[in-house]
Amino acid sequence: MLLGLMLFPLAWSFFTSLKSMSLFDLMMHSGEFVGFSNYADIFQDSNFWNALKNSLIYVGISVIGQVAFGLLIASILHSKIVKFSGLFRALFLIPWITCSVVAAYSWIYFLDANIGFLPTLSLNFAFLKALGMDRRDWLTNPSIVIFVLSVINIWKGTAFSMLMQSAGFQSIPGSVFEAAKVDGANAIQRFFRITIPILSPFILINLVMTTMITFNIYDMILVITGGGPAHASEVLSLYVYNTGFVNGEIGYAAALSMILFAVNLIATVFYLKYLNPRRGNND
Amino acid sequence: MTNRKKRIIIKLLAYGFIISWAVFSLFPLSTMFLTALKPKNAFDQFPPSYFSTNLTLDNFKYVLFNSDWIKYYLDTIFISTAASIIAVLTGSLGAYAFSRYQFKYKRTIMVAILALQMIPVASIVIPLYNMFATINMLDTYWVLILINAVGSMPLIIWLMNGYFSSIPKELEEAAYIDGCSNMKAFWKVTFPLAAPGLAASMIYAFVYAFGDYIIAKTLAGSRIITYTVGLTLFSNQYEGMDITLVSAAAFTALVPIIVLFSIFHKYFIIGMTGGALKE
Repeated sequence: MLLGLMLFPLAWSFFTSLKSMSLFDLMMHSGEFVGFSNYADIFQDSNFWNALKNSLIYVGISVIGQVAFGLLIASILHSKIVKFSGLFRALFLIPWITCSVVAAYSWIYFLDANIGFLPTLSLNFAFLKALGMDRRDWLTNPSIVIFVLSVINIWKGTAFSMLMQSAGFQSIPGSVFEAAKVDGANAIQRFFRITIPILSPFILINLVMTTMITFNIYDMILVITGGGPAHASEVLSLYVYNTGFVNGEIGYAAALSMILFAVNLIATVFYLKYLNPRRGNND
Repeated sequence: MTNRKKRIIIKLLAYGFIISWAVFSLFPLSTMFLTALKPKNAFDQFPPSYFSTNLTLDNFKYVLFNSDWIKYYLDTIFISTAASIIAVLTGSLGAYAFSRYQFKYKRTIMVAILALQMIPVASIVIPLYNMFATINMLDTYWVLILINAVGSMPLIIWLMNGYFSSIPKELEEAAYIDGCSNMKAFWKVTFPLAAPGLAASMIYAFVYAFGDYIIAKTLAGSRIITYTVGLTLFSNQYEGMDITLVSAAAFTALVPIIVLFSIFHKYFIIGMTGGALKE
């Protein structure tokens, strides 16, 4: 019985171990053995540094935006200032549950130069023009496209942060606030002296998880811009994909993916260190 | 007085922010829905007539009855359902072993399983392609079912381990005394009791497989086409102004997720956040 039950996870682990094995297999079998020269090439590759820079912008803006807005929304909904908080919560979850390809298309059509809703709208409303929203090159201007994609990612991912922070708020006993009120603390003091410290483990986990998720996703960018125009929105994980499947340089892509994996490994160590003990207690 | 004023200002700000975020959340999807209801010629002129009240269901009809879309769609539902059933059955059996039996390095294996979750898709998709190309399994249902099932399994094992651990052992022991075998006790007693966890895992696995694009694009995509890949084909095939059809197709893809979400709201959230938060 025990063996039978253990066989499944084991078989599954074996299966997965095949996956990472074949990383090395691939590098040796495809063509001649080149040693570490692929890795040496990476550091000379301007596209790699460009992708890394884009990744940092994308991850940085997305993570800060998602966690900050998530915290703000969760605190407003929790504080009962606003009515219908359940309804709003459900509305906010919609972008998050939308699958990324559908989300990507809705944004393409929203921003498209000729047929997009926003450019069309800004023809009719002067205030949008005044806000500088009347541009038609949201997805084709190399200097802003990565920021537009970050905003799209904030749109999609904030709900996750909101849920995490809501869980954090629910763990704060109301009596703590009562006590602080009695002692004469005002709302801002209460927020920074009580809410933030109690929430900090949640915020930390949220930051680490969102960073890892954002670093690795690229399906939305692949559909929206494909990394273009001219590498302007190519993040690291997309660069790996494009190198392997568009340019066909499998060996080089595999080397790049090992770099990607190494970055993830570092993040994972952080993640396990902070998240794991909490999970262990909960379960 | 000033206190009251302050409170009103805070209230206004909070409402303003919440409402604008709601608009922001809904805008792209609702304009897409609007687009899907437009007749084809609405986008022939410039600027396109977003504001005409000329609405039609033709696009939905065409997408559902006259194109390959419905085939892509049913294929995807089949793959996602099969993958989630496999993932939940095997994952929960594995989780059961972790929660009921003591063995060496249990903790290490659990952590290792969680760590597998962190492997980025971008770094395994190339070796996976290589692997399935060697055994001639590219572009089959099995390859998509298998990879999606395995991909969602680590989280399911963790989630179900938590649920099984919360079910008292005594119930199974009572079943043994009544003459049940181990396996029977598991299927008849523990498995039904873990239903909330199973529902959450099932939804997680389904959504995971349903939203997949990268795997379906690289490891399949000529014979077996999922709707995500189909959508990109669809938009290329009708290159030009026919965004009404693509919008209608994309919108039909939202339906199962929205339905699952509105029925299983709570389990959906547990599943999608990977049990990091319960309730």
